Amino acid sequence: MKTLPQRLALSSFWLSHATFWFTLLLGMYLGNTPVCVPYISGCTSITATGIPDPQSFFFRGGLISACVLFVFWWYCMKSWLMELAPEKPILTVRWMTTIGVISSVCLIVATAVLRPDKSELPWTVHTVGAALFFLISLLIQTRVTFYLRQLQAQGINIGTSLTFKMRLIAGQWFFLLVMIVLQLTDSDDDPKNVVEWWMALLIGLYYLSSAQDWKHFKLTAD
Amino acid sequence: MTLPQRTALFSFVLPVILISITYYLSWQGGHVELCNPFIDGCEAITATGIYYPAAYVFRGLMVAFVSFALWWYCAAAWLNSINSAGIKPWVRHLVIIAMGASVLGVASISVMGENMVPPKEHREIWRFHSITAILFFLITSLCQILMALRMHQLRDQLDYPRWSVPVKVILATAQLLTLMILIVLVVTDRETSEIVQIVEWWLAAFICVFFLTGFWDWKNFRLTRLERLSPSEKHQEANV
Repeated sequence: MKTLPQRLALSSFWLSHATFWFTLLLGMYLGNTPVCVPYISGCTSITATGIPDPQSFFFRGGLISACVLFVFWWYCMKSWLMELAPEKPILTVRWMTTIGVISSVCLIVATAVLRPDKSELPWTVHTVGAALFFLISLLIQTRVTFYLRQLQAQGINIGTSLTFKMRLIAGQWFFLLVMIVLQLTDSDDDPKNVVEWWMALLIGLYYLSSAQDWKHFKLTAD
Repeated sequence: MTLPQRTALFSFVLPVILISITYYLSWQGGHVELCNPFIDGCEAITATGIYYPAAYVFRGLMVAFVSFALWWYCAAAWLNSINSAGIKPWVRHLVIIAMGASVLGVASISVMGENMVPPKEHREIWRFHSITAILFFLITSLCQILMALRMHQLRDQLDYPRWSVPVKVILATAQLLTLMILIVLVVTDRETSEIVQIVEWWLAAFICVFFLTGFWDWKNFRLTRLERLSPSEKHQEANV
């Protein structure tokens, strides 16, 4: 039987990514999206899969719901770290839920403004919201990972996912640098789309990675 | 304020704020009349969230529906906390069904936008929205009625303000009566769109106020071990 935090970790990843993959496949089936693997060819962006109807219905419902799960994931992470920490945790940990709320609200806004008529879509709001989500998530995930490493160095049992988390963070920073280079060199959309899909996957996997650590962590007062 | 209390407050405040904003934006855009829909029934809740930019804001209601699901989780954990044997199976099923109703609520909002107009050309979307919204209202109302009944049964064991159960019973009875009036009117073919809209607004209000009552019920209820400790106890524990 999985604990609630484990379920939140699993559902945060699976709900968000099942939404991406389902809308992508539906778009391919309906002919709105080219048949390809966007992680390799970058033939379409995540946003583009959620614009036309009826994909947009699934995209909105799935992703906005997943954003609320992200908030509760951050709440779990904060509670878990507060229990583990031998002394008062760092400021970032204490404000973790608030930061998680801010990043999720950014993604909710970015998703809520999507509409089928692209010419009327408020692109600035969407782009700023999505970019802030990616950046804030990367920064907070990085800070938490280094805090976990500090705890491990003090001999505290923080579970088994730290190495995996470090790799995910390294991957995200790598893709962020690639994106900056692509922006500066005024590259085509395809390579940027590849980066977007991978960044989203790595952020999602970070949420998922905590499921193994939270085997004995319950969100109830036993 | 504890997490369950925040959830209860959020489940009430967010829908109220969002629907007020969408009503204002839709009125500004000339899409709805300015009236008191609880009395006149001049507009449906749905009507306030069809045209952009109100529809963008209206989609935020999906967050409220997920919050409702968490409210039910808190309610189950609260009932569980008084009995080491766990909650009764029917209550567990009730909570799962109520969470399922919240998913239906998300589905009903996810299809909304200007893609619904003109209604005659988009009957399938309207049908989907109406069915999922009606099921949300019906199931949530019934689950709240049953939850009020269960709380009434456990009134001597649970730690909450004395007025809470009577208020919940009143809210549950009001929901039941509203639903019965609507069913009678539909069966006798005497319902009008105004009456249906009045019922919709009142049901939504009763449901949200019911969620809000958890704010007072859960003053001493904590989801996590850490939340159970007072600040001085936390400090002591940190120094151990």
